[in-house]
Amino acid sequence: MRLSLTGKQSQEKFLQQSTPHTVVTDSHLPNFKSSVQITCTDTPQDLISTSIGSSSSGVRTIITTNSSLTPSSNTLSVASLLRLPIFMNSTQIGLEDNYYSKISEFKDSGWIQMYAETPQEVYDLSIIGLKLAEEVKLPVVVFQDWITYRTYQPVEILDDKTLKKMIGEYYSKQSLTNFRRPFTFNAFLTANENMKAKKDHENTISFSKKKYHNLTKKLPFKEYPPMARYKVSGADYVIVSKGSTTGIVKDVVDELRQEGIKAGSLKLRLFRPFPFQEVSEALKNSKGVAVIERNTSLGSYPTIYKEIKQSFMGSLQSYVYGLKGGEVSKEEIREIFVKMNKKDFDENVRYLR
Amino acid sequence: MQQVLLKSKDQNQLEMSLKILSHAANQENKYFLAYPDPNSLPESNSFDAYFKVSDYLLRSKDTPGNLDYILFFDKNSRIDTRYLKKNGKAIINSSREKRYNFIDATSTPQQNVYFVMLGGLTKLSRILNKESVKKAILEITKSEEKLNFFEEGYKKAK
Repeated sequence: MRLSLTGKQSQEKFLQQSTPHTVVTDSHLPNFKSSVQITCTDTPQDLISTSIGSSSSGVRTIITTNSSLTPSSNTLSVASLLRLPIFMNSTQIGLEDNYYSKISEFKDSGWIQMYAETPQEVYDLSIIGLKLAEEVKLPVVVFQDWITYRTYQPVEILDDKTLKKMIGEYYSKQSLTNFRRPFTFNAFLTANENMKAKKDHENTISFSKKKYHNLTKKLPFKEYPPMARYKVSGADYVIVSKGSTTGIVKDVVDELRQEGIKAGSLKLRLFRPFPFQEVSEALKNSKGVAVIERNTSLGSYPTIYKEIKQSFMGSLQSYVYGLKGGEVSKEEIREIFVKMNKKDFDENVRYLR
Repeated sequence: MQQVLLKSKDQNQLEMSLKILSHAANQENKYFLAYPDPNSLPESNSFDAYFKVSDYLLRSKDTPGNLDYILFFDKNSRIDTRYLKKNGKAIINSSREKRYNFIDATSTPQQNVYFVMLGGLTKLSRILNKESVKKAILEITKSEEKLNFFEEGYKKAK
């Protein structure tokens, strides 16, 4: 069924379908009757702490937030260290100066992280994300930017029955509320034990990429590779981006191709685990690459640029834009390609606006 | 592709308009994008939103500079047509106007102005079918009364 939905409504639709008998808005809470419980928390710390409590008691836990999670960064790491399959939808709404830096808040938290470009992707990646979280026992977050959050676009949604069948029932083998099988949870770790736990965590998050591939093949969606290539094959110059900005880049790529410039677009969808091999493979024949992103790391390079640098040895340029929510224009994207075509690269971070 | 800029001081009015237009476009199985201006400033006292509709896939949620229509919801709006393309139309809320297309919603209650203006846009632009917009209004507002305001705008559009 095709509906007209915003990114916000797509995430609500998914929650409504995956947690039956509920409509996920505050106003419906007083009428809420089912085995599913919705809790509104005041702060991000409360949200993550509540979800840790909920998930460790063995129930399926889905959360959404628009807030900055910086104050709760320690609890984010606890959720992943405890291997809790929490699923979160998160939107970047401009409250603080560098609000698109959620990527920085999350990157080392041990969560699996994905970025959606359209309301359709928000819906589809939510299904994939929830399944992935429960299969690999790690928390998963799907991000969307506020432009996607508020844009109406056509979204193909699954009927309730198909979706329920797809995500299935959730049974946790270990639960704090299963008093017949008591176990120690969140125990103190010595330095050696902590190292071992981190190593296990690293192995699991690396392994989750394989699971992600398997899931995206199994589920009845169009393809969702970790990096979405658009006319990258044979491209001399490529822009790497994520989220809603990629739509603008693709349109400019089409225009430039008609003018004879071999341009391409590479969209980052899966950020953790980072798809180094896929990036390396996609960019191996490129003469130049520009990375455009909405975050800064003052005194160093922005986050995605640093990741791409690990996979691409050629000419690479970093661009920062829209830190307070503005969108890049087609002209600015065109200018980036033109500069690459003129071999205009330097080591400084360039600020678009 | 047809691109429309919607301008109003009332953000709710704009958001409802986007919802109605996108709902109607979806019924016609068209591709569409309906979104608030990604570059409008939070402190601004006028809000902008864009509606794009096409038979092919749309991707750019940018601030387009080549508009087919600009719809000014508020009476006495400052008329800025810089980004209108050569044959584009500015549609304003006024009882009399020589230079632009106008719809008289000056005496309509504030909460219903956007239905009148959407009626005018539907007639003057033909970007969407009248019946699908009416159906969208009915499904979203569940109110026959709102349809009357839409019809009023459709008739008044000049």
